[in-house]
Amino acid sequence: MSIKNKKRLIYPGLLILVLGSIFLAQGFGGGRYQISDSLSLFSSSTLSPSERIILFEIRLPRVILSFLVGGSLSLGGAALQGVFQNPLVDPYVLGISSGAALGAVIAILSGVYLGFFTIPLFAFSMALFSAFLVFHLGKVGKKFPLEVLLLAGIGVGFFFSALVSLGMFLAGEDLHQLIFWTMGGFWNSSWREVKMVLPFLIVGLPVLVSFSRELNAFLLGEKVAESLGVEVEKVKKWLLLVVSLLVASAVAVSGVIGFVGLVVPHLVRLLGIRDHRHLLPFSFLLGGGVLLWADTLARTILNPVELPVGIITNLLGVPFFIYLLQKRKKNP
Amino acid sequence: MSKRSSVAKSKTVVFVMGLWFFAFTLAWGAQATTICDDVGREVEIPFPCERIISLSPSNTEIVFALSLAEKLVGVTTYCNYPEEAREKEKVGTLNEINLEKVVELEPDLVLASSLTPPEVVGRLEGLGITVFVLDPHSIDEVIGDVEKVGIISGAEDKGQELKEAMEQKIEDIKSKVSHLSPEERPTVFHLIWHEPLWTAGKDTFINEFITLAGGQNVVADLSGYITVDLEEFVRRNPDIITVVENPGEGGDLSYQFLLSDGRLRMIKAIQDHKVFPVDGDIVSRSGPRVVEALYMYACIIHPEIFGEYEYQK
Repeated sequence: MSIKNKKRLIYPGLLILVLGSIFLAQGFGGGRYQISDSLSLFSSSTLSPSERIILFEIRLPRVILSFLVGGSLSLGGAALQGVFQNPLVDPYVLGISSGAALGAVIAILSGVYLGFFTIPLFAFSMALFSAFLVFHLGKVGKKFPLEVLLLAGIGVGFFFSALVSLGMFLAGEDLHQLIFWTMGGFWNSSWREVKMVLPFLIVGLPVLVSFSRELNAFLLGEKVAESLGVEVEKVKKWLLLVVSLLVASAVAVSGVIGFVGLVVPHLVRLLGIRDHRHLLPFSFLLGGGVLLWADTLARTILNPVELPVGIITNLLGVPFFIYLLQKRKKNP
Repeated sequence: MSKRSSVAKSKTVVFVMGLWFFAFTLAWGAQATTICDDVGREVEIPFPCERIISLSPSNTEIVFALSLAEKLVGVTTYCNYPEEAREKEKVGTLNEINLEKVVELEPDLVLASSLTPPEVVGRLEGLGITVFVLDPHSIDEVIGDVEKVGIISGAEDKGQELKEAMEQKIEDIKSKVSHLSPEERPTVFHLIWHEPLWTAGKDTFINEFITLAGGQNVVADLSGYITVDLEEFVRRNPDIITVVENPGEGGDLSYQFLLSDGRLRMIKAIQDHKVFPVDGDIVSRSGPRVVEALYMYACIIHPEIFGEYEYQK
């Protein structure tokens, strides 16, 4: 079978997998699987009001949000790995995660309350602020040299993390709130959070995919890309901006969830997909699926006790990451 | 030669006997003046006990309740009750203790807690300071601790008095709810924080308050302080919800969440307006105010017996 045919099959296959996952995940609740809960997606006339709330106002938005967040993170990771031509880059490389965490710390410690969206709003703003700070620090003349950007991202990330630690040290009785937030999770996800991330994805996904040709050229190195007629600096600026918005919105509603954004794009590449026209949408679908199942696991295995999903993604992500490294050593 | 040796012998015998006697009195004395703390350490009672440092808010409350305020020379930054505790010298937070400060205050007795790092306890002991660790897990153990602190700090009578008063109040509440059938005992959910839903299962003080006050903890099948699924909260459908409120801005976020999140609208407690804020300090501290907390729960769960609950900020 030619590669082209294979790809033609993978797309509908992946789509069916995603829809199937949503269908199945909707059946997991109360620590077990019930087919009737899954089927309620098609007919819900016999449900009691409480069951209706559980299935359509608590479980379904959570399943969908975990998919969207996982998709955003992995899409962002794939795009940034392309821009930086570095396989170890994750969507938080611009200091977005520590920025968001600092925003949440500020919101919680200052006690400012502007409605349910207070913490997401602070987290989102600070995430963007840190990304722009990194841009600014990483700028040399009119260019954004990649190593400088990376180092600036690491520097800002460490600095903000230190501020987060300081906040935690001083938090006293609010400490548990900060700890829970930084662990990441979809505890109380509702349609409101879905509505918060969806616009960024609707705009971000097509915009990023439209840069596929340029990202492919980046694979050959910046110099070559430039000689191929790619406006390197402009493309970098746009990609970083779009990814920052996308990832900041995801972090704002879910806290910092690790490894999905780093590992999933590699998984897609392992499937033999390196062309960004496919790599980006695939990463989105697969990342969404992975986080959706990780979250289903998080809310099922110890039910009714909930695990933070960030712990699950890290526990599963780290061994995989090490496996990747081993493979690279053997097969550089 | 033989004379000398017999003299030496008798001297030795006397000496050995003396040694025995000395050791015996030492052992006897030690036995009489040591007391076992909550983590199984034998602690020698300090004499005199004029300077006490408390390393937790609940210990501070015990010291004040025993009328030993004047002997209290150091507290933590969290010690805010009673009001006078705020004016005492600070030696650190619950788990970050400034050792130099503690030593400088020359305490006869340091009352540590389960949150005091064991290294700190070890260091202080090594410096010759008497450390007594309080780590009660039930109301009875709190009362036991009140008694022990009374003995160890030279306020034995006051401790006994306080112990009896606390026991009396608990007996009073117990006797008033003892006749209730299981159907007459409403289910209660205690919310500590809403994101994620953080609650108290069995083996917690909250569980004890709820049970003794004639209610049933709706998550009694779970143990300790745990996070539960929002779905499960809706499914378990408690009759009453108590929610921790802390002083200051944003201290009532969890209460606001309960009242404003539409997904909770089918929960019985929300429909019946039986959502009660409780003072986080009172319900979470293992000090003399546990009986106050118990009484609060009695009013919340059975207002028809104990009178309406009033939340005081």
